[in-house]
Amino acid sequence: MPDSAERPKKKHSSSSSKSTASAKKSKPKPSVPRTGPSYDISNLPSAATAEKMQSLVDAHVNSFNQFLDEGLNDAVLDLPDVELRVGEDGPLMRLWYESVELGYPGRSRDETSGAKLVPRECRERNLTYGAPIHVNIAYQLEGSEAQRVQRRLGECPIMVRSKRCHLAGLGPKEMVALKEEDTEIGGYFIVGGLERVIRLLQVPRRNHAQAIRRSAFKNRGQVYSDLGVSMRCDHSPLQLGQVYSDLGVSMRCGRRDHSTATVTLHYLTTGGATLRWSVRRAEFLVPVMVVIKALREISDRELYERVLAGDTANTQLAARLEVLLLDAARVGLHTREQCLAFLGSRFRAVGNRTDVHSDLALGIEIINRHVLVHLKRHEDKQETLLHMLKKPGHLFTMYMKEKLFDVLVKVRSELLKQSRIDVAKALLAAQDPKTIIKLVDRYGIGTGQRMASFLSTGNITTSTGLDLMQASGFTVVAERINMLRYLSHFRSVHRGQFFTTMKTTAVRKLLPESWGFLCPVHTPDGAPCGLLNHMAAECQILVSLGMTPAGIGSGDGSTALPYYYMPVMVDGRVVGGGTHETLQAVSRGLRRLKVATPPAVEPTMEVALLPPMKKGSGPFPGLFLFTGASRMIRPVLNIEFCKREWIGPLEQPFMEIACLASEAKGTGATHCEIDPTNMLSLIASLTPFSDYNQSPRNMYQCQMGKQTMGTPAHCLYPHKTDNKMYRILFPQAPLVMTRRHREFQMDNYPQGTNAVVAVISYTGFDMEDAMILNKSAFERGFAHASVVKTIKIDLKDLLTKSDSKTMVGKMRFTNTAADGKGGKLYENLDNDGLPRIGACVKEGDPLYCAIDLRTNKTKTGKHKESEMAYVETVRAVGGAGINKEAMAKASMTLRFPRNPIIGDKFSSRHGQKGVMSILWPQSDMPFTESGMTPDIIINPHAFPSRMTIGMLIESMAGKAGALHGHFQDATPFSFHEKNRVIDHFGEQLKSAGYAYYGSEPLYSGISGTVMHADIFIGLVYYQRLRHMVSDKSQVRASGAVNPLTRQPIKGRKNKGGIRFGEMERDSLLSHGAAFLLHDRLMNCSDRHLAHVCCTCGSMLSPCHQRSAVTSAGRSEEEVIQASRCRYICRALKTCQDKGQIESVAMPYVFRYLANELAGMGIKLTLTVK
Amino acid sequence: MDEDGGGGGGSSGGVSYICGDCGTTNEIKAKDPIQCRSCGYRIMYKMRTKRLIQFEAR
Repeated sequence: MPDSAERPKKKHSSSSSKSTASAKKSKPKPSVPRTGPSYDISNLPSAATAEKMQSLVDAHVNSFNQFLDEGLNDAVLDLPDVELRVGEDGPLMRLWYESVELGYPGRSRDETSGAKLVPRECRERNLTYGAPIHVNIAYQLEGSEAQRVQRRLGECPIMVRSKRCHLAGLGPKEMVALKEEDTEIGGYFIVGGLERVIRLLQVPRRNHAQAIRRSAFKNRGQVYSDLGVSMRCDHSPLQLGQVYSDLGVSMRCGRRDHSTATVTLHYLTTGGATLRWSVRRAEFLVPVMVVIKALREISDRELYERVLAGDTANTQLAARLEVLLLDAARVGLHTREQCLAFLGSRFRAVGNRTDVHSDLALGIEIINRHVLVHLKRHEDKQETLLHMLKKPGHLFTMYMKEKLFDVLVKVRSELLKQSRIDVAKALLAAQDPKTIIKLVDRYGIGTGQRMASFLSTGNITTSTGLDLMQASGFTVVAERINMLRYLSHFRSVHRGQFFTTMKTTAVRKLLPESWGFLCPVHTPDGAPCGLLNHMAAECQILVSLGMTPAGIGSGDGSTALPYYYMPVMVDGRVVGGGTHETLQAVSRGLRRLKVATPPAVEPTMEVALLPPMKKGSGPFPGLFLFTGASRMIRPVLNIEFCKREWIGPLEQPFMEIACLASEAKGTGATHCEIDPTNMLSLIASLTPFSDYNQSPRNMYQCQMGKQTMGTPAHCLYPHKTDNKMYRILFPQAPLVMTRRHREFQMDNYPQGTNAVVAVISYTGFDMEDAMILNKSAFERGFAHASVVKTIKIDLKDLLTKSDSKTMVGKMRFTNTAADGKGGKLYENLDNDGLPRIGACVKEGDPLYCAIDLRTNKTKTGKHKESEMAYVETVRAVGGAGINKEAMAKASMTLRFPRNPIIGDKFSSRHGQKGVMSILWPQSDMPFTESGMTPDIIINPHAFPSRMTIGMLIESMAGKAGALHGHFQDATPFSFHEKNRVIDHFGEQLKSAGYAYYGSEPLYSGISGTVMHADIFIGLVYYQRLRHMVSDKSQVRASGAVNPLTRQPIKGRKNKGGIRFGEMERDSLLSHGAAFLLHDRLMNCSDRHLAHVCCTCGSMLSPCHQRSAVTSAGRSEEEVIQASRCRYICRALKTCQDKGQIESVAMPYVFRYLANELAGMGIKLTLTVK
Repeated sequence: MDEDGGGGGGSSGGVSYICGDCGTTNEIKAKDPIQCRSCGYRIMYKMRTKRLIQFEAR
């Protein structure tokens, strides 16, 4: 806006002629000025954009849909039946879930009444957007028919825009009608009115073995192993692993509902190996041979030959095998049955079925449940972090499954308890559906609540551990600071809480696998760097497949492969093997089938051919095919077949992918990137000309873009109730924007203003990254903004806890004085005890007033902040259900005007941040020959060391765009040495009559003389950051102190001080500023006058002389009079006579120290002279 | 701060609210439940006053 007012004459003529020309061409709506590249008369996003935006949260929404469609039922089917014996030798009773289903969110408990609950209502009423859980529980007593009861287990939170959400599949117009954002994308849950997202977590790839070397494994040995050997993960005899997989074929590999179990093989220094897995968080170590033998009947000789596979030269392997076989023989386990029975007997206590099963059956079940739900094989690839994601829906499924199972277990234990008391009664009760209903209701009704509390806290309380490495931090609030921040919540991928404490930086490194999947630019700097990543814009997460691979051949483990064959594995099962050459041909053929139309195999299948490397290095070779879910995929161009192909992270490092099609020729590349910017995340790809910037600057911009005061939402008033939002008042679409900015129509949520920026050292106010703002630009509205806060009031919270249940009608908003005269309590409030719309509230003004009808006392909520605010919206919120109570809840939205003041932070889109140091009058600003004055002046020193050339190019491009009246394309990697970006925009500037390189002669605003150097001046899109001085300024003379030390407290909130620490002390010492030092550390801190006894040197013993003897018969006044200034030392009788008591100034903490030392029996003596 | 058109700052009586769903104006008194009389919706927005407000601009 400021620039539009000051366009040079030349520009005027050219742009107006251009706009009239374009207006003639586009007939239908000539009267509408084109204010943005994506401007549309309907003001709704195009269908393509809506789809693009939606694809950003596909990982969340699809995954939740998968949970609704399949996951939930699969999980329930996978749950074991709960069994119990009613009475000592009574009949056996079984309990199990028949089915579980989620309904639709309804306003009342009765869904059939048809009142839909929509997300907007939940936000404004602070409700949880949830749907009822309907379960079918079946139970059966031995020898009788199974009976079924249908119950409802509370309400489970529902993801917005998922299949159970009322917004699913709605278009922009319908969404606006429901008072949502037109581009509402969903992907989050609403719990208690807050929007929460389940974080994406990186976990080890499923059904793929990885070698781990961890010194912590050694510690395990001393505790667990009776042999007292230390265990460590070694460079393993590889073929051993192969046997596992061979034998694992009979097992279930991975579970249908995406819950996983990890099995680790520990190699011992003796050459043996143990298998570790965990059951309900307890770890178990079992000799590996016992497990192998338990899986399939196999003789020692057969095993030996299978593992060795003809590689007779490998003596090391042979020796290890012998150790293993001897291990098993020593325990005396030879047959499969023996092994199974052994396992069963050892794990009897772990399973929840103490009496029912034989050892054998139990052994089989243990193996089914815990071992080899998928196989882990150790390769010698150390800490290779292959990417695979555990997605929200899956986590949700797992958690829900466990909670459902808990219900059954509780019902069982309750029945057991009853049967212990009275068998006959319990037997009767067990047959009565009412009992079951009662118990299920009692223990089950909280299930939905448990899911909600998981979402609202992000903490998991689990008995099994769910094979996860952390217990908290699974969810975050989706803050609507601005659109970029909001969107990046859905694209972020965390490496896991565990890794944040790791000292090595290995896990934070960029890996070849992650290219194109995780953005190398968009990660925070500092502690979470490399652990909190963001997905590239084109990267997708596979949620589930329409098919599961059926009928994969082989599998009986009878075909022993020669040792020089590489295995072929499908989702962790060995299906065959072949030589490298054969497998190369196979994988090429598979790729052809993948891209064929229609695809002959699953197009998202990962075909990873890991070639053999020099012995003992590189990953375990083989052809690994993956069809499972939870993998990241991205599109690349298959040059050979000229088709788009989805590839995964495991296969990527072993493929030849060219960056540009032109580079592919003659390099043997089989694939090519569709667009070089595909490696960037959405937010990173919004930085214009980012390929010309030094890379950390692009990282900074990704951070700052998310802290910008932008446009958080369009339905801000009155429908958004986020705690805090920032809003810029006169935003513009950037003149210079990338292709992806257009694709996503990001200028629907603009984040800044195009500003005329001069790079010049002027006035000295622009040093050290400060910037000068044109006062007139500020007065025209440049970077004006406001903070929007929502305050929620629930009268329940004003009552003490014990009352809250019976509070209905006990408290009411009011503005009538309780004295009975009916007068107004507060002038500023209306009769309803709430402020007027548009009212200005200052510190201490009442925001609401309520009366407790029992005590007739009023309670007033006041505006606590020192800033004034305007009341923008007042919402009266009715209670849930049908009760006819008076208003008990309200919320109000306050607007804090925050126009720029000195000290506020601004930045360009190139990591160039700075604070505004002064508002400089326009009359004193330097001006160009056309009479233009800059809006912003920055110092030239901002550039040499930071090397943000992109900002200089943006400045030129913006200037040229403004002159010619069009928006410039700033997609990275679109210019190169032959087609120079400087020339492109230089020519444009030249044709508009300006200097080729964007510099102009400037005249001093003070003297009016021309400056000696030409000044670089152009248009740069500037963002205002949310860090503002008014949030940070802190000052204190005196105030609250810590009661223990009497030192000032800290924190801005508490009106505390800023710490004057050691380093500050040192600097004052070095200056010899003793008085100042004394003032800071003593007088302004905890100065204290202590009385010290000169004889005994104690500061604790002197006290007022005021004993019963001396005060006897005297009046209070006399006592005080007499004892004034008279201290005695309690320690020494002698002191009283000849000793003297002096008062000494000291810090109060010193007295505290003396007390603490006395508490330990140490006397502190002062020598007073 | 006396009787005015929309806001309802009178010494007694109700305050006008707009229904969050159907947009009907409802006058709600202290003891009334928060519910729209025409559609039963339970979110009500307070109305901005129609009274002329002049700020001191000195």
